[in-house]
Amino acid sequence: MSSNSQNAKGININGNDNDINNFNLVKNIKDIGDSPFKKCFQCGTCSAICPLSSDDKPFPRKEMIWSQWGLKNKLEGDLDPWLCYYCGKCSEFCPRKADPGQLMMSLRRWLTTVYDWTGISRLLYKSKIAEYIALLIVAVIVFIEWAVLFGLTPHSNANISGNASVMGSAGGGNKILTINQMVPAYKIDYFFDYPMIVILSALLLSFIFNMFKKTVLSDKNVKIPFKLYFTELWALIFNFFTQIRFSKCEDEEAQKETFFKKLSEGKYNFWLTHVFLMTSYVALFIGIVVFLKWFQTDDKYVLFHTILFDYYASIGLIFGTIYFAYKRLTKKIERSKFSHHTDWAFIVLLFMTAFTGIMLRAFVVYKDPSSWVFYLYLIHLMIVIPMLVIEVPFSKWSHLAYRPIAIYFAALKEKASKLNEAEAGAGVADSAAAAADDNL
Amino acid sequence: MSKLNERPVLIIGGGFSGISAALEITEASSKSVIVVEKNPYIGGRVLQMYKYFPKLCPSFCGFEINLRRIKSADEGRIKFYVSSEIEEITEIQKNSGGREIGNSAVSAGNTVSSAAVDVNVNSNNYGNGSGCVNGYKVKIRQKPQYINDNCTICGECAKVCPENRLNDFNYSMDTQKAIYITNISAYPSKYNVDAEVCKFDSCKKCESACGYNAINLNAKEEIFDIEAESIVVASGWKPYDAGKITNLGFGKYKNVITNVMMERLAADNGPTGGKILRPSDGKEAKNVAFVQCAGSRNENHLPYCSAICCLASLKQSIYLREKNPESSSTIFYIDIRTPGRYEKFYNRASSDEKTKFIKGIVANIFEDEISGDLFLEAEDILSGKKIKFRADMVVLAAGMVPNRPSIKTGNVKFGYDANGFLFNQNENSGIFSAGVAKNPADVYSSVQASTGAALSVLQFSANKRG
Repeated sequence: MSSNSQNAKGININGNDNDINNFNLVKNIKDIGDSPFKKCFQCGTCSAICPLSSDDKPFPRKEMIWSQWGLKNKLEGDLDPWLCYYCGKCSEFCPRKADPGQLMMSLRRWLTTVYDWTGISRLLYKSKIAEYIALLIVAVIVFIEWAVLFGLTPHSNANISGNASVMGSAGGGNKILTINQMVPAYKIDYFFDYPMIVILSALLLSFIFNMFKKTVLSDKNVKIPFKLYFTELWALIFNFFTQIRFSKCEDEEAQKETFFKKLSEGKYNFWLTHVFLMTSYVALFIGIVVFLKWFQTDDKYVLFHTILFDYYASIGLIFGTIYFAYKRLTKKIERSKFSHHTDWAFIVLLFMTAFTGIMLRAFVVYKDPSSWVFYLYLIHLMIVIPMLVIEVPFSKWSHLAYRPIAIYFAALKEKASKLNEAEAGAGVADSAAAAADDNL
Repeated sequence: MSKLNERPVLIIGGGFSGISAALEITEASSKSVIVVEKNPYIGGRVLQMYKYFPKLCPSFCGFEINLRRIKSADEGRIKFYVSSEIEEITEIQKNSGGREIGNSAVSAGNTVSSAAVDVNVNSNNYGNGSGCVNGYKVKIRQKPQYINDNCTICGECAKVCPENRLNDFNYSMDTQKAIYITNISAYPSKYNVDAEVCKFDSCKKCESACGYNAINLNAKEEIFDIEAESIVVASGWKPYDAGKITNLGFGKYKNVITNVMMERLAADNGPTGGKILRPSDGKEAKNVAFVQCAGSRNENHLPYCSAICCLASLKQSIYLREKNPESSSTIFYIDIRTPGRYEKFYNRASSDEKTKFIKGIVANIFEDEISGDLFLEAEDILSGKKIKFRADMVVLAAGMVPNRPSIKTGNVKFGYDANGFLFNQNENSGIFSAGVAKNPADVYSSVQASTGAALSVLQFSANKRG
């Protein structure tokens, strides 16, 4: 990285390489999400009011001071930003208006750039223009690939049907080409979906490994027994699908309300919409990449589960994106008050993907002219592929992976340290308790 | 110009600062002063305190000394208007009073527009008679004085009074009769009638009970004008409305009180006779938590430090521990601010083994409904862990908010800052500030500010005569 030479100028506050102050850190964080965290005077209101942070290792006060002091290594190994779901109570009650919630959001972006060894995400987060150019480049590549594979006017590319008859009917002008004649699904699979999924998975997995190294392996205090990786796996899966921590943003010690009361008061709307949007996204992603043949069909009466899948996901994506766009526009709740350009890019691209996808399906079902289908399919791909290529590894989308994985890693570390404590002698525990008393 | 013609100095507020300024001015010069006080007694917030820090002597002690100084002053040189508020302050025009002869181009044949006044203010010197304002006409509204000076505070009237009022002197923690005396040190030393509660003509029991002909329930409000040469604003403060700090539960949970209420609970003449009993069940409060910066240093409430709350809580912690050796005190703080020599006071409080300090502001308070105990949530920053602390009673260190009397001032400028404090930016217009009207301060610093304001008044007067 180019900033390495500058990093070396940092001062070493206690002779430990782990605590080198990084002078550029404040600037680096502010570059990708300006927040007034320098105002913080360390009163601890944020940590105490946070319904999500743990009693033993609360956030976000410690993140505030680590950011102020440029303690880059501490922040790089910190999983807590991913455990925050931005309920905004910290920002609401902050006596300095230092907006800890906004810093945690910026730190999530910053951590994405830390895990990303290519440096691309840093560029995309820093510059709006860079992101648009990146999206455009991928779109152009899709366009060229399409032109080479299927041409720029609708004609049959299918090998199954006889060439001559299709040519003849095209000349006649009345015969409608089916989508699979013009754009065979297997070609989309081999030339678009599969290469993309391989590249994206490779990138994302390498980033996740990087995250694992920085947050788990480099933490010398905890040694994780091998068995735990499997026994804690349920945490990963469970949290991925339920995002249950989101609901805990509404937990208040003072007012004990039942789940259903909160539900009826609309307190869970944000969480549930988010789950709806995420599951829709995941369903369609898996569906389109793995089972494209089911979706890209000329048959009006597709298999029942495909319809169910399709409808659930279409409604989820359209409703979800409009809901979050509305929240970001009205800015009434803390977590929607500040919108980074990557937040908007994600919502808009997702909406456009869903919209063009639904239109495409409608064109096919209602037998609209084949040229409409042909061009709309091209446009659809020129939106969805850039979105996936740019957003999945390098930008906002990556939180879909990092969040549940961070919960998984945090659970591993917590369980492991508890096991370590249990193994340690009773005498050690006593002295630790005495030390804790002294701290009070 | 003869001294007989000299106008008095107006002092807004008869609290400790106002009284001090009045005494300093009259003792150092031949001037006379008029003190306008909104309460029916003078002495202000100091009388509501149990003890002063750092010496922990009773608050009425210092007040009594000042009272003796007042009584030994020349007859009529210090005039108090209690139960009074100022309606309007206007500038006296140069050619209307006829007391001073215009000696410059500015005042000659000039009707003195507001623009001319602004120029004077900006010229930043005391001037030589032409640069300064001529004086102020002040309209005062005094509430009906139902009790005259015949009152001997025998208390016969209160015995027959059927109506009750909330005792605002004790921050409404108890009630008293509609005819009442505010406190044991009250000066003027007489009873008062709460016009909002009294039934007047349909009752009049007190009038017949009074053996000194001291009660006249037909008294009317009076509005009158006075003239003043200069003004000292010592309008004091009020505690921040702790109910606005929604996460701390004041007003919602009975056992969450403010620091000023704690003073009344501890005071021998307070609602509990000096025993620190918690409001919910009258049990002695043993395990008391003090929550610092309740409102102060908080951009959502008061952005400034109120300067005295740390010392006040330390003081309260000390007397809590002295009153009951079984008690314990826990102080939640951001930083303990005990500047200069007050550090010793901090050392005194913290040397006590049952006084704990927790660095971390309390973010949440909730109640155990059965016991009435309170749970305080905070991050103990020194250990980096969240704690849930159980306490019998919580004392919020509510900040100081400057009073800002609603006075029609027209083109007379009072230079308030963004937080409502009045700095001495008004030298040329002869408007000075003292006490908490100027900045958050303890009694000691308030008295110093009053001495400073008194000197400014005399300098202003001297320069004016040139």
